[in-house]
Amino acid sequence: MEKMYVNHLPCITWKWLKMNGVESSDLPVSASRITADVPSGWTVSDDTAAQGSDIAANSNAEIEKALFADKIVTGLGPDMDRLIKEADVPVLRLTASADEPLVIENIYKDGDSKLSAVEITIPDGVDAVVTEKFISEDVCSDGNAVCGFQTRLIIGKNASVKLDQVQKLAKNVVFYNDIGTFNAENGRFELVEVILAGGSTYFGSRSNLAGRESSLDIEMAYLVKGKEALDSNIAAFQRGKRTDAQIRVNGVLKDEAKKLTKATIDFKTGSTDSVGSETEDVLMMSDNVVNRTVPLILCTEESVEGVHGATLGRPSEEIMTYMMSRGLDKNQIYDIMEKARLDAAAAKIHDEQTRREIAEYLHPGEETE
Amino acid sequence: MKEKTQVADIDRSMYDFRNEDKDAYRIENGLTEEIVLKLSEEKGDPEWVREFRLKSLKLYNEIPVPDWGPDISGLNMDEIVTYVRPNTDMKTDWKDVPDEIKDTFEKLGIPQAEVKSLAGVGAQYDSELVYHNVRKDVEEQGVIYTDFESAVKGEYGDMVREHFMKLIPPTMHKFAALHGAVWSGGSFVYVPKGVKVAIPLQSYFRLNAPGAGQFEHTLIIVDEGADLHFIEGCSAPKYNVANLHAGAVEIYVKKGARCRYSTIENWSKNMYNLNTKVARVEEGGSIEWISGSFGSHISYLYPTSDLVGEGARSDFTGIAFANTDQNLDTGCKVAHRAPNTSSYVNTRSISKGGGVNTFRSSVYVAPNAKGSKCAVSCTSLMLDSESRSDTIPAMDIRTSECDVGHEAKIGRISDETVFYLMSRGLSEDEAKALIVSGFADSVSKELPLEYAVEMNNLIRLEMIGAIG
Repeated sequence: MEKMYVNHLPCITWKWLKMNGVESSDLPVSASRITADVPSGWTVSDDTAAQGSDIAANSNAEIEKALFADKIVTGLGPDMDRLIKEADVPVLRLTASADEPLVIENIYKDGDSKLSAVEITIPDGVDAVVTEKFISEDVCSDGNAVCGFQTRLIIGKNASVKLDQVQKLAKNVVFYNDIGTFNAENGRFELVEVILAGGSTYFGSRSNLAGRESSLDIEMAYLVKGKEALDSNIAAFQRGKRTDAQIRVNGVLKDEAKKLTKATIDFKTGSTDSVGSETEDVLMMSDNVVNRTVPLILCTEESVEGVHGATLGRPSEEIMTYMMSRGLDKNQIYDIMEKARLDAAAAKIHDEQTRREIAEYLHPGEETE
Repeated sequence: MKEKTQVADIDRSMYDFRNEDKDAYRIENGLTEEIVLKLSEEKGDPEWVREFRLKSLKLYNEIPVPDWGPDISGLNMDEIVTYVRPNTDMKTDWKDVPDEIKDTFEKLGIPQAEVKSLAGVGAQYDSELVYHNVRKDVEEQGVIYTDFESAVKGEYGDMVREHFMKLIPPTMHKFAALHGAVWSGGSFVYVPKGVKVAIPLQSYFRLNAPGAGQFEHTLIIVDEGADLHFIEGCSAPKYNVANLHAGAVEIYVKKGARCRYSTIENWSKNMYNLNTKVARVEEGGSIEWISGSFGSHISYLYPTSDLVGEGARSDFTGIAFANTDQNLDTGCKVAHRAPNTSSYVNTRSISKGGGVNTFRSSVYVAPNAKGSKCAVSCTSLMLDSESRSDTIPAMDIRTSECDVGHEAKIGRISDETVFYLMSRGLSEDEAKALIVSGFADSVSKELPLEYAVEMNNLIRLEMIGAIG
């Protein structure tokens, strides 16, 4: 595969906006086996074969058909599955237990071209906690790397998974972070996504809320700075009755950063009494940033409630005046606001060590918990 | 057949009646260079218009059919008649208009509205204007309101040429190119500096011929400090073959001027409404779009505001009601290209009976548009689960010194509210119609009274059978 098309918008819009999807030729090519300390209660499958995909990456009709057939279609899309299959990536297949959390740490070096995949089944009634870290060996390095990671979650009846992801990559790293979930009845997926650094990040997460009362809760916080770019695609496919999708995105853009957020709540016929909410609050700290957003609400069901809200720009004059009256200058205020956004998301991460690492990155030299 | 003696009498037959096809000239079906040249010759175009048509046709053939919106595969240009001239030339007195055509506009209430509440009227029947008149006192203020053909060929020719299809170049999209190739009819308005036209001008477009297209061009120039309210109305009888509307509206709002452009669109449900509207607003100027979309089978309609002068402002207030066999893809585009510009977008959409509504928008804030403000609010009401409602708003912000907010909501009529109104003696139908009318209130209150009443009656009409 020479090129990959990712982050296709679930309902496309004008092409001149260049928001419908991204074609990329910087692809990770080396299969990388995940090494993690799998907790004793968890089981590891011998089956490591990747599934691939026969779905066209830019066909919403085919994607929708697959979702209705109870399949997982990830946020980045079918080309990521194809790439994983083509690279013959050994998929780490796990069955979770509630006893111990799983931590997967991915350290990337300059020149890496690694592609990895994990698929976790959360059995009925089990509440699992997973932390995934994507870290450059030397975050200050100028070296290039192109890496990708896919997480597929099969969430059983009355089961839940809390997935925490932290990204801290060097400024020339291209990174594909791909998530897909299938949620059975009352299956709950909670994601805390903290993006602190990375050259070009493609992030996608799609949840197939098939089961009655299944839910999705995403808290995403990002800091995009320098010449970094972030393209994210979050989608909730709400099929079951009384499903609930909550997507909250808080971000900070600095310097010459570029960001595109796509978030979709898709109420399908039969998703009676479902609710969905997506909010985005972006603090733009430079005049040279590019801040693009396309939040979709798609609906073919009468009895639902969907809302979206976005605030993009600078802090309000009231906040600035108040904080300046307390003796802070503009830079200090922006610094506080930047860190407050990231701290708020980081505080929700379950793994203590990971929380500490984030604090050390955001508040160097300060005493951490 | 009823006449529109009062708005309360409104029913669908008011729009769906049709006259026998008695056109004076009809070009053959399809779209070829030969047809375009024949059309040009028939209309006696100046050379530059003829050349423009041919260039546009070339672009039309090169630009692909849009694949991001509603399916328009049912529209076959080989079957569309691009030019139908009615059996009359343009008159300035309704008495001189042939009875059959005059009756059509009387049933639509146009002559009556002209007497009561309009400063001027243009009435287009198929491809040409059949009536155009402007009140003497308005004319004496220096306001020019004339048919577009006369403007192109007459004393305003240079002004028209300077502005024609500059805001909507044929390269913009396939149907802008189509318009450039086969346009006919439409109006030209010029409001001189400082002149405030106290009551609105109106153009009404009636498409009677089955299988025909209407491609009128409206060019409005509101000069510095001037003020204008322009109303556009449109309707057509329903046929079993596709009709096409691909008009273009270009509005130049000069420094400190204001233009309000109101549309109540009630095309028949075999109509492909692929209309394009763009306003360019200079320093301190303002454009206000009021848009009611009720008719057509398929609509692509996104009035665009290009805010190029400091302090320029755009307001968009829209409502779309999609019922059975309708797919209305509507919304707006706003580009903030100067400091301290502001825009406000407020839309409502209602979907029922399998109808599809899509709110599609784009907001662009350029790096130099410091101090700009933008607020977008769209609310959708789903009346059943056979229908569909999508919101697709895009924002592209390139300066930190701006405030951009967006909110969208989708939901249903609350059972509690219906129950409350029924407890006060309303039937379920009446209760729901009242709630929907209230939901559309933000649009109707922006319209002149008689149009607001008409809009509410249209909603009531559409709501018939909403239950069960």
